[in-house]
Amino acid sequence: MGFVSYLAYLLIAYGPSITIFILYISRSAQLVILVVSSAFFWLISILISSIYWFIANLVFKYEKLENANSDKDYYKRIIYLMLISVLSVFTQELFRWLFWKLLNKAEAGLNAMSEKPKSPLNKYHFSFASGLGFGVMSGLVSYSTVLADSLKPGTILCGACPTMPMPFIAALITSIFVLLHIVWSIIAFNAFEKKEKLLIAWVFIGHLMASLATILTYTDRMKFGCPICFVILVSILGYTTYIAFKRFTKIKMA
Amino acid sequence: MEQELNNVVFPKYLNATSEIGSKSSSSASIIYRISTNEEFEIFKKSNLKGKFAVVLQADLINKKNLRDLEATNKVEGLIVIYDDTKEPVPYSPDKECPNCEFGMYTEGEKANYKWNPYGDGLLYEYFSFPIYGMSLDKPYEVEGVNAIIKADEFNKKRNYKKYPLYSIKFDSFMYASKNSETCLSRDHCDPIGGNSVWGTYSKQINPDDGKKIVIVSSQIDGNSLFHDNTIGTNSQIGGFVANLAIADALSKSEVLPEQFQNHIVFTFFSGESYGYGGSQRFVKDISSYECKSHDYNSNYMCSQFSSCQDPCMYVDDFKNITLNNIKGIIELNQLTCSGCDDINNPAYYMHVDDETDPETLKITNLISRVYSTYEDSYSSYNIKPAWEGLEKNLGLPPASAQSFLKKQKIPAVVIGDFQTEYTNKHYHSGFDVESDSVKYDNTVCKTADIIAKAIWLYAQNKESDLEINSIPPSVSVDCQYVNDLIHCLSNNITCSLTSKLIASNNGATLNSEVSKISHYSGVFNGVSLSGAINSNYNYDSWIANYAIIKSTGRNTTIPCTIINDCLDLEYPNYKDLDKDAKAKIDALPYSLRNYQCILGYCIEGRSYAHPAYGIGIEHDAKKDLFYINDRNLPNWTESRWDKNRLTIYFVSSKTFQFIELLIGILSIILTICGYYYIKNYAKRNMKIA
Repeated sequence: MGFVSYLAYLLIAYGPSITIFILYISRSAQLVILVVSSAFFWLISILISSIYWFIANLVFKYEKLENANSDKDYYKRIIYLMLISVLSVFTQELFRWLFWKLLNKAEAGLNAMSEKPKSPLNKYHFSFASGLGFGVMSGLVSYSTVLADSLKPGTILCGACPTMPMPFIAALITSIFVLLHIVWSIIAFNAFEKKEKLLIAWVFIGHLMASLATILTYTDRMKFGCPICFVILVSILGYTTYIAFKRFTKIKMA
Repeated sequence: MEQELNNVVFPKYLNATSEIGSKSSSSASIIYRISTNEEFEIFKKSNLKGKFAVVLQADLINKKNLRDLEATNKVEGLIVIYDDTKEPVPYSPDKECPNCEFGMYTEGEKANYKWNPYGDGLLYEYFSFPIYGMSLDKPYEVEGVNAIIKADEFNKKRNYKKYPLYSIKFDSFMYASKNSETCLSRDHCDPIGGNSVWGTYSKQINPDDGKKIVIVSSQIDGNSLFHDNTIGTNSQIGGFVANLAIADALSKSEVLPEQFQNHIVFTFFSGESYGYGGSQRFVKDISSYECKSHDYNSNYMCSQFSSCQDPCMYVDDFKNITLNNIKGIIELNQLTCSGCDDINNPAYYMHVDDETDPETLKITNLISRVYSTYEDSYSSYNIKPAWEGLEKNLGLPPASAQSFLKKQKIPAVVIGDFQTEYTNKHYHSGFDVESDSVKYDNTVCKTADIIAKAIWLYAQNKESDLEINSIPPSVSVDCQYVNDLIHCLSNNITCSLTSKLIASNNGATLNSEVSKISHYSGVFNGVSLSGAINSNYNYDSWIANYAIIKSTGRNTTIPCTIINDCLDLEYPNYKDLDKDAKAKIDALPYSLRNYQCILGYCIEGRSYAHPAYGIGIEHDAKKDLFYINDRNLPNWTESRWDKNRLTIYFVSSKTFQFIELLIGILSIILTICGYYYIKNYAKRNMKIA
């Protein structure tokens, strides 16, 4: 709705990722390549998720529930959303794992090409870049059409908090998700290497909880849907960052 | 994010000096609905900031209110909602003396007499904001109206201050600007008008045949603020239908009207609302017309079948009518008596210009005597001279007859349901409508019947009491025909009678979704030049055309479904003709053929289209465009426009948008700070650069 809003949403949703890219990633060609390839991996995972939706539509005729007015249809929609979310999150984490495996094979070469070949920090650089790639692509796919529409006059109001425009809430959620993907990747790669099942489970559950939390912003049936959603997201982000940081500080300096 | 709504618009039209109507598109503004006078006052006095799209109930529309709204400087656009829930107040957007600046009276009291007491001239005002109209009557506009009403309720709960609020954007672009001359030269506008229709029983009118001409006239076009919402049941449909009914009644006379001592010509003038476009042009052409060239140019708008190319005139049979040969004019003005004091005692008046002229009085006396002879003892109907009982004769009311009398003194009588001022409380207003429950037996039908009988006598030069007493009973108006026609034209054009008329000759069918048609004359453009009587969807000319042929022509009683079924009658040896001759006959437009298929039978007859647009405009046949040739004569044009759009959506306040921007910039700054913090932390605590 107007150019000012468009600019605002652009900065909110993609500002952090663009800043990080310019300041941090762009210094090293390998990191750039890692960002792009992990983005591609995420894209494939979301492609498979879209096939789940397609099947759901075919089998359960989800589209007919879109304009549901009765409670029964409404709850059906929520259940389907949750089920498909579980599948989709599982697929995304699966591809995160697959990317890690690919990275493993290439690690020796990547390390040799990096500035400080023997630095233990390299792993963190790589996982950070992978996470950023995941996050950026996730943000682009989920938010770019909304961003483009926000140039038109007029806006849609958020379901759960009708005083806020929907693109605004979505931009905030997108920026949080970008950061979330970064820290999830850091933890996940560390956990894959050390085979810590608990941590892997935490990433999966954290991702699931964050995805489901965004459902709270759609509807006006639950009071305070928006604030609760953000509280959940920010707390997951906070806790995950804390775990990642602890790992980070425990690096043994050789 | 946005919803588009169907609508109509008060367009821009122009004359020699100025533009009137509403301005082109503008930006978005908050929806604010006003439905009562109290709410109107509240809006005017409020100190709300910003610009509003005012949604006004149609019965609050008048010049004073709109000027007041303009003066508040808070109105970005106006949407007028028509709904038929309450009885609207008496009001007319036309002038108090409609068309008087172009009439026959140029000075004195008659030139400014207030025939239309409820008029305030809104139609001729210019507003600096777009004015759109929507009606709950039209099925495809109902959704939009409800959306606007809901949006306003939402805004009202937030006191029109607390964002986000519903907003509306007007998108209408009017091409024309400045005045008629400018816009015609740029091809941005068209002359307002259409095609008049006239017909006669006589096979041939010859200026030297010793017969004079009785003209029976009526106006067929209406007017109102929104041209798409123009019905005019009481303004002009009554008179139009009476004219057709008289033609039908006289056709049943055992003595064929074509054998009367005088010709009878029925005229249906279009474009009258804008400076007597139809009648003045007709009078001009019958007094001075000369064909300068027959050279056809296929690139030009003038049809190859036109009788003359320069000036472009489709048919020129009107040449045989001259002002000197007109015996008298009888015009059917407003006849429905909708606002009469007592509908059970309808009173009609005969208006004349010169109440001392014996030729004119001949007509009024005949009508009075027919009335008294055929008056039912229990009937409460009344028709009498308008000047009776008045201090002085007020002259002719606004009427097509004025165009004739402006040029030459001719006996003329204008019949109307009013004496000193219009009884129609909604003259040329969007509220001038009537439901099908109203029957016109005692009003329009009865008047038409008396006039038909009077014309039967007048056209045969019969005046004696004996002759008046022996008018054949066949010469009477069919009240079913009158009621059906008025109802069909006002409320449902797809009804049996009019849909069959429209289907004449080629079985054209109507879009069943459209039931109420607009009776605005439209514009006179290239299509109209070819005499296309159904151009621009002006059904009035279309229906008049076929109905008058049916009444004035000879019914061959041969059934048909399309016009080619009647070809054998006109060309008995059609089958034996060669291919070229056949093609030539097939290419001839229906209106130029002598046998047409109307209401299922082959009728031998013709009717004639005549251009109707202000005589201040002329068509230059050499350059094939319209131009102003006299700025002092009527030269109304209508601007061309792009499709009007009305979109409704939410907006948040400007401050909120800047806050969002601030948050965006903040998030970038936070990221930069975070990056440097982590970098320094790593530097400090890991001793690794």
